[in-house]
Amino acid sequence: MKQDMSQFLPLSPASLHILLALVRDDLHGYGIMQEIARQSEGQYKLGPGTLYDNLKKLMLQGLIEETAPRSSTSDPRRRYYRLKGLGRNVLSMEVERLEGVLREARSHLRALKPRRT
Amino acid sequence: MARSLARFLYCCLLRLHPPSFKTEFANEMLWIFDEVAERQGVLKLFADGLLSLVRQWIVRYALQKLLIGDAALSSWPSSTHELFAWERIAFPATSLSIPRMLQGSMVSFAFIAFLSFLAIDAGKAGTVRGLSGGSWDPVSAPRPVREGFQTDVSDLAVGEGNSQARPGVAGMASKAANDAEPNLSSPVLGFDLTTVRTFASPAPAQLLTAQFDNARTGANLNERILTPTNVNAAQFGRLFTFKVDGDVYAQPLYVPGVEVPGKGKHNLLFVATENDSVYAFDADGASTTPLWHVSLANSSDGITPLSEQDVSCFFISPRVGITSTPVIDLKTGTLYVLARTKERKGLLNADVYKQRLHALAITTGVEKFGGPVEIKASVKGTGAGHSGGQIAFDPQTENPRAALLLANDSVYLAWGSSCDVVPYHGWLLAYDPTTLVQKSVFNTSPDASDSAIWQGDAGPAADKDGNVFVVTGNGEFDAATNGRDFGDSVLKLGSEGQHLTLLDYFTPSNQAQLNERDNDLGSSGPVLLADQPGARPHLLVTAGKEGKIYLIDRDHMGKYQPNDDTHAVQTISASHGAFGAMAYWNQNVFFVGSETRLQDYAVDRGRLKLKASGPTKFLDSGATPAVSSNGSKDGVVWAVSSKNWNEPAGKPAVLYAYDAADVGHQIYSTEQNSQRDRAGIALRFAIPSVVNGKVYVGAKGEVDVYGLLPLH
Repeated sequence: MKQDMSQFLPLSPASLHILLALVRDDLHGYGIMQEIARQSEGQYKLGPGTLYDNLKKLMLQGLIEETAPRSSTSDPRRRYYRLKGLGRNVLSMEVERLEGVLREARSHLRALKPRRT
Repeated sequence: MARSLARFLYCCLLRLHPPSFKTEFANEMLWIFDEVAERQGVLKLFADGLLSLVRQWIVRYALQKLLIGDAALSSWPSSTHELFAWERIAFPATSLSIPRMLQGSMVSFAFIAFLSFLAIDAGKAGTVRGLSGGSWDPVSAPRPVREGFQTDVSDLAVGEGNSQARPGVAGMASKAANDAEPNLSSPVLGFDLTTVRTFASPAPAQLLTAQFDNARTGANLNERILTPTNVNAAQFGRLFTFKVDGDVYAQPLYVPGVEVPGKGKHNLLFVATENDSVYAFDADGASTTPLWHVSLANSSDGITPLSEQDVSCFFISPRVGITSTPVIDLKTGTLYVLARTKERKGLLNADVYKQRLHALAITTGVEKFGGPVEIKASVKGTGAGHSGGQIAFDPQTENPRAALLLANDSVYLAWGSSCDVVPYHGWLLAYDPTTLVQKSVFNTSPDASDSAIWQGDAGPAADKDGNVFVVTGNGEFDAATNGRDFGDSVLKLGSEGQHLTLLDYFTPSNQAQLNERDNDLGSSGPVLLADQPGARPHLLVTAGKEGKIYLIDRDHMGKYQPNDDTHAVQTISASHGAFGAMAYWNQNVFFVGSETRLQDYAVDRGRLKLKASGPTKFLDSGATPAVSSNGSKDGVVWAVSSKNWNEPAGKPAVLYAYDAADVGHQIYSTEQNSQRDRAGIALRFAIPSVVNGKVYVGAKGEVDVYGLLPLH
């Protein structure tokens, strides 16, 4: 049965950025924070409290999962997270939704150039 | 040392989290703390940790407990350790450690504070909902300053209609509001106006609608006091000022000889403000305290005017309440006002926006006819904002600027936009004046967007046959290809049964360019000229933001042709832009465009010929002129300067007067003796109300009143 993914949308900014950070690679918590900072050119920064709250939520929703550490020498405090197939699909749908929002916003801003009324 | 202390405190913060969260993530969070604390500082980390603490206990854990219950939760790992401190009361044998007590206290405090906050908010919302049970609506009961008045206008003096003495407009009185043939026996109020009319001569002037009449000529032909001879800085100046609670965009209206219960007979001036107030003043300034004042908002119940942020537009600031000029029906002694409000429904619910048509007794301000009525409308269409093939009226984005019109036994209301914030459409709605039931709806862009009816605050016009004329602003135009969208067009509408129907239209050949360049044709309203000799007796004049004047045959408006504008009777490139409306008097059309001097065009054999220009250049927005005269003599042209469209209010408005026989002769300005006469802060599109020897000028928070100075 096909899962209704619209129940996950819209994603909060933190969830969106976390999923996006995990698209290319499995990462630990600190790695996710660094990747988000890189992708947003430093404009969006997560604190650890917000990060782990969202990681817990995303795991409960089945969008991400914990995965094994890269190597046995890895710091035992480091836990790695991986994007699941469902998470990838939800992220794609959210990107499509945001594209619609952007189209609408651009159209509105064009109208506000400003025009005298 | 300091870092060690900070790390210790952060550890404590992590330990205060619910055990399930703490067990899973505390080590990682501490690791991140170690990684970033030195580079980024600890303050943000602590703030984040505190937020996390509140979130985990209240938003996550407590809600889970509320939603799924203790039983379900108790099966969760670690949940037996996550009892709240108060839950331990049920287990007296279990002693609490001091850290757990502190933890419980903190969480309890946060939780109780949160619940209290919700309770207070719910209480507020409950008050509004409770009071509004049944059909009670807090806005339906405006708060008169003096209550208990009874509606009684039995001694109301009804002046002769403005246009009865107007040459060439004979017959227009039959349906036009200002020229309305009174219903001589009013079933609503039970008084007989026939007796009133017998002593109503000589007729005092009255001003019942924007621009004096439904033709929107802007000319008061019954002015017997002010003349080109005595309007000068030596004899004429500011007499007094009415202070009000908001900006005055609506043109002040005037009814002579109204018996105000308990206060005697007065000539009344009606002033509406952007703070949703309506005032009735003694127009002669016997006192500057209002005879009555009603607020159509109610801030104690969270019902307020809108802010400029609410409408995402800075043009009307800081409050947006009543913008469109009301209209008065003397048959029933009723003032119709359209007011906008924002209504708070509690912090957990979004604010709602409302627009309501109010019917107020001119004697007291008390609501009549079961009013107010909330504005709602929908039409079939696939245009902006449609849902399921229906377009609904949006009370937040739809901006009522054009003046109200009373004609065809209907009150007409028109809407445009605020700064073109979409989705919006041009709407024209008609309401029954005595039942306030909606009679008909017309949308100018049902399958597209925009096409506002705003007209620089001027009103829709109506002719003697009951045809209604409006001008639309930017928007798609597809009517020439069987569409239903009328951007940048002059529309002629008739009432067929209960429905507004399009009878004819005029659209400039460069409509697409006008739309693209934000050159609304509908930045001005239509003005209907008196009947002319020749093949085209019924002419209409208007002008758009492009600055071009269009003279149009109302009987054959020409629709659209793509190559040129020869379907208009005449076009004149007259200025850098036109806003508001022109004025018509005695075969003259007076025009004040943007960055232009007052221009006087003679109407000669059905065409306009530039006759004279005034000496003073008006800046951006120009002005909507008014004319006062005693029939065809003693004409004076009046105009008030506007503030620039993209400047904050700050400069004083300036009232100018010209000899209508020669507008090159400027006879007065409020800046000639500014210490005595300077007007209030200028707004936009102010139209001076010239009536019974006085000139009323709306400004920011006040109405300045000018007239002949007392003799020394």
